[in-house]
Amino acid sequence: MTDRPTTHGLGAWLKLAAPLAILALAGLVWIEPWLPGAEWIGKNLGETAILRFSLGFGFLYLALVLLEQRRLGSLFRQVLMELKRFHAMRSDDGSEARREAITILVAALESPDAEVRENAHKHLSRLTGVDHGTDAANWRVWLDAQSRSQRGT
Amino acid sequence: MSILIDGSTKVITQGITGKNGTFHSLQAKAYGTQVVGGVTPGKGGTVHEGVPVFDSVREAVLATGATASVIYVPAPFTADSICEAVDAGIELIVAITEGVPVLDMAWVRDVMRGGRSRLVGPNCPGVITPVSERTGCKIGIMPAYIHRPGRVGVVSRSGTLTYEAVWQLTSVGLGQSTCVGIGGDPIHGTNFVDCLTLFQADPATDGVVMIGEIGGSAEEEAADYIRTSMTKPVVAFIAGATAPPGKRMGHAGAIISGGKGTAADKQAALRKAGVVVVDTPSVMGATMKSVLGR
Repeated sequence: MTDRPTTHGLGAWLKLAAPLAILALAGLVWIEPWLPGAEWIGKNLGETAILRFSLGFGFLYLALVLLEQRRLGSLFRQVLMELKRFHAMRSDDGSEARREAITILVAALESPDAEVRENAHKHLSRLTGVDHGTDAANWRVWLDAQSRSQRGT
Repeated sequence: MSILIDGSTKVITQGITGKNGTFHSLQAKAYGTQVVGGVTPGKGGTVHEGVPVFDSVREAVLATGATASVIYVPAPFTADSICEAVDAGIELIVAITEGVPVLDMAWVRDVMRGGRSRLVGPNCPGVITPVSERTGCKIGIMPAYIHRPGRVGVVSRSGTLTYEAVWQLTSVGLGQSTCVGIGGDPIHGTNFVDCLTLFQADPATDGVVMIGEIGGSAEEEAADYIRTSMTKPVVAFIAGATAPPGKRMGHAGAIISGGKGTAADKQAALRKAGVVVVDTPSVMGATMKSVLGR
């Protein structure tokens, strides 16, 4: 499963197709003066006003769609992280057991084998729902902080 | 030094979330074994008894650097589990499960041929190397507390007789370098000759206790090896001296068929090779002590 929101589906295609439809309509208006309002616009604002306006609108629309996609993607990732964290907290069999398991994977971050380090990091993030990189020291600091906060509660 | 495993061996458990996997992994951890992961398909990303669980052996190996695996999965799935461990590049695979179909093991043997993985078992107690009085590397189901670090290797087809030999060696103050239960199935991985070769090369082993049983020809092959290549003393016991021909005695491979594989034949072959063969298991430890004291 990926953290990024999907770009498939009818909604996503409509978002991408809408600016193109607007452009097509604008072009149609520009080259077909019999369409309602075309003559007035052409006379008062210039022959290419509709096209310029449509192009500008189209680009603005595309920019908004992309920004919205990024915002939703970020929101989605945060929600997924929280869900993973919640799942990890629920599925373990006690904080001490969880701590032991994390310690094993943190130790693997110091393996001389780069592939082991990389995979230990991947599974640590999967297990904990957080990401402190591939430096074992960072994870130990986090683990200590977690233990302190658990003792505090 | 020891053979196969030592205090730094990283172990994963296949079938860790099952009843046996859980119990024996906890026992191994309590003895100081580095149990760094477990494998149960579908439960990856969770934690079980302080051990991270992975969906596959490959994932576990890549994330932990484990080099040994112990298998506690039910018999119908054991062959697949062994092959998965082989594919993942595990160096030592210990299959504890009893009742693995012989045809499955024939297939496993083909898969393993030429590879770098070593299989111990199936239907065996496992492998143990005591490091200190109360710690060591235990991969299997043997009771850890009877073991003490020492200079005698133990290799056996019988689980409970291994414990008997170990306890006697501990009681007489010799201890063990490594104990290997090779299992009693007709088709298994590591055999007597493999273990004797390793013990012969191990500078921390001064002598070997070997426990065989009726059926097959493994003891005769071991006798050949001992005669030609072994300089360290070997004390042996062959179980099943009173077994009737054609009757399977406990282990699937412990059967005298066609008049071959009798205890008397095996004892004779071993004696001919210079092995001290004892007639009763109760003197294995004392005999080894006297042999080493010569």
